Amino acid sequence: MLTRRDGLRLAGATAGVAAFPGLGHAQSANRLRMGVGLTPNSIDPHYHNTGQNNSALRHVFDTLVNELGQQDVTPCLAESWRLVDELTWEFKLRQGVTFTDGTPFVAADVVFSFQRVPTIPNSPGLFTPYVKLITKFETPDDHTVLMHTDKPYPFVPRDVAWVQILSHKIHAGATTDDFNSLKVAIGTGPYKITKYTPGDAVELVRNEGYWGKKQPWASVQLKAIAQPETRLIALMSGDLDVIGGVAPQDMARAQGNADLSVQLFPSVEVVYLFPDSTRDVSPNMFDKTGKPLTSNPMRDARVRRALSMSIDRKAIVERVMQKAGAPAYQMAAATEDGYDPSIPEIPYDPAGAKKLLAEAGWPDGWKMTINGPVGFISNDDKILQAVGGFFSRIGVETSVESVSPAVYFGKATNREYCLFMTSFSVPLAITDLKSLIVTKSAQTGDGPFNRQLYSNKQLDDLVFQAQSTLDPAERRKLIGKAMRVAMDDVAVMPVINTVATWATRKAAVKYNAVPLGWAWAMLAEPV
Amino acid sequence: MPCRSAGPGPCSPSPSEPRVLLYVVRRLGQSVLLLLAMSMIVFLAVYAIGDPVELLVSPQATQAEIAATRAAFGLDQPLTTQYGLFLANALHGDLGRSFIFHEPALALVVSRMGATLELALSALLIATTLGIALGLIAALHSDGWIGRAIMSGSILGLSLPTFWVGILMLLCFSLWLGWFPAIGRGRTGDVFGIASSLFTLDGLRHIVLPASTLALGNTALTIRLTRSGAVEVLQSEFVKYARARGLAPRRILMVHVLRAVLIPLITIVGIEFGGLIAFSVVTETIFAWPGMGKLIIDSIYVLDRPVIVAYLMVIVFLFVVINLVVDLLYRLLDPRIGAN
Repeated sequence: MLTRRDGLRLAGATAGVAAFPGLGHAQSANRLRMGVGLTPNSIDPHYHNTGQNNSALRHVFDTLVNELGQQDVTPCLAESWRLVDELTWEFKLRQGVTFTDGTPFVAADVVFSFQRVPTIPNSPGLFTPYVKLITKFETPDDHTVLMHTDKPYPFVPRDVAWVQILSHKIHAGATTDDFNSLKVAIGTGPYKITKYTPGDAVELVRNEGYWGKKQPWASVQLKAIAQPETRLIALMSGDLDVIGGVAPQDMARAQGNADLSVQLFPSVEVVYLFPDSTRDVSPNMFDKTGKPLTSNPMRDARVRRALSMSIDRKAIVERVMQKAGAPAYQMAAATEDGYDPSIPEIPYDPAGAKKLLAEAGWPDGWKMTINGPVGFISNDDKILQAVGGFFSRIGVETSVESVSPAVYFGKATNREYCLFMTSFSVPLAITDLKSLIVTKSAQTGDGPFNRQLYSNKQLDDLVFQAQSTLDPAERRKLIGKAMRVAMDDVAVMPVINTVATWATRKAAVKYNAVPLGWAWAMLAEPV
Repeated sequence: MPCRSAGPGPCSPSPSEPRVLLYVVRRLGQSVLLLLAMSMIVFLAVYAIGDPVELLVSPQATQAEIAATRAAFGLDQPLTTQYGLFLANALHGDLGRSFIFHEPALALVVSRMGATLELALSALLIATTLGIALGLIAALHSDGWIGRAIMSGSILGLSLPTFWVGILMLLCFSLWLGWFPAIGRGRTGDVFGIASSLFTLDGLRHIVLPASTLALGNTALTIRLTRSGAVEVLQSEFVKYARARGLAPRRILMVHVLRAVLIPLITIVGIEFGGLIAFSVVTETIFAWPGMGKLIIDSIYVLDRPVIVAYLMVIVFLFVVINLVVDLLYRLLDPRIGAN
């Protein structure tokens, strides 16, 4: 097949030249074209905290530090940082940096940027989680910023990585519209933006006055292509140089193509199941005759453990994901700060699971419907089907229902599902715990995505203690302990860690992927 | 001849100018009611589905921040208040701002309309020229192998799913043969202040594949309609009479037969043009064509209600206008229609 295809391609190449002289796919040198699923929905870097915006706008605007999803952050506009006392962080800023219009970068710009974050009107999702714990700023000189917190807070250097830095001179009073019209799209970053078409493409040119390493690309295009098949074809035909996200079913074809280089890179995304372990009666659960259950078996930790043990995670990775993933046994990927390697694997043990069910008083199982999104995680509907199959094998007759994300998350939050699947991608293990498993509270704002209202005092205490522990080793130990409590009680069932896939044209580009999955021209090298 | 039933409006009794004007005004008046009904249905439907806030907020957002986002979009208000506010603003020509893009929804839709219109027009051009030509050939050689080949081909064209055809086109003409680019709209040129990729060579190269994909179904339909119409007309009395008078076969075909065949075709082509605009969604998604279709798919996916409502209202309005134009063209081609 492949040889035939290549033959056709060769034949086509000559025919193409004959039919359209001078109209080949050849591109100008030093231009990089990246195909991604989504491009930014605004050029205002404080408008919407979402992967595609944070990724694309970092070409134009810098941050104090770089967050790549690794164990530590790396210097960017801040050259160094340290803890002055328990409640104060000091950032030393890089000197001689200017915005592309010549305005120098100074400490006041940092304060301005952080204070602008909560003020953006009509934002679909603000960056406030990263700035609200900083209660006061001081700028002793033009290249030093002090950030104060009310309580000891070790994650300031990680949080500042999400706030892109604007100028207090250029951007005072600038609205989101001013950014979208490119009037004030002026940053200190390695590229300048020349064109923005919402939902379609962003055009960038090199910032010749950039303070850092000179970028190899004179111009860059970020192109939104929703269809993974189209992305791959566009790459193969030479219309793109790098693409993110090869569909699992296209993997073999991409890897078999001699012109392409395909890499699988572990991401921080954890796919997990969230059972209802709190209500006496949960929806979508029936006895074997089809009558609604009058009690909720999943309140019993043994039952939750049995369900989790029934899942053959390795088989899901091998067959459903075509090896594009890894089994997950805790709510954090191995690259995350706070991942605890000592947390044991969850064994695949259907016999043991049946025994546990019998012990808990459900030897014959029951019937239920479980839910998941479709098109939200790569292959999500197929993962859910596999999970339903494994549950059925231990006597819990499970049917699955995949729902469009737009509808799905609202229903999950309304508790219309007894057990549902979704994923979470953050670079810190403590955030997984704090957002998903810690007791949900309207007052403190904790546990915002704890949709099944799981609650465990011991776990909460450990997480809060970790959150204000400044010593990294001590803190990681506490996070590991909290994670272990959650896993022992089967608060949630991690299933797999996904991988990000990148494909490049081998002869043109090498891509150095990072765990957070950034689609950055800065990570692409010419070959 | 009886009144055409496909159009929503009644046939007016006389072709005289003031009557036509009145007719146009009445039809446009009806479209306002239609738009109102449309907005209400879409509003209700999107409300029933849910709200997009949980999809949009950051993973670290607290409940208060989620609630604040909901309030910023007015999604915490009762449905009647939300709709009332929408109507009040709509009267001032403001259909709201996109939740996602923070741009006025109507402007966003209209900014994408050019790309979709040029795609639909190109597809229409391909479908009608190719369809009528092949249809006439098939009618003239209805017993020969050419006629049969064209007819079987048209069945294929009707039954293949656009999605599949699009991917196949990409594989053949972009990947294997390398003739056309796989994605995007290409360079646009300005003519009389209208920016379109139809005005540059690069743009034309980009439009060939998506337009052909979009045109396929309609080409097949046009072939079949033209052929059946032409076969019927070729046997009618007036054609026999024309032959008897010794008119050249070419003249009989191109003037007399074609004109008779065109009348039903225009209705179909008109309706199909609306369809091409509305259903360019799939084609635009496959070829990453930056038109309205791609926008609406993205917007539906995240329940960006202002954009969904604005898009559908624009589409309804386009359908109304197209139908009106078809009706007027119809009178022009066959004056008897207005007279009855």
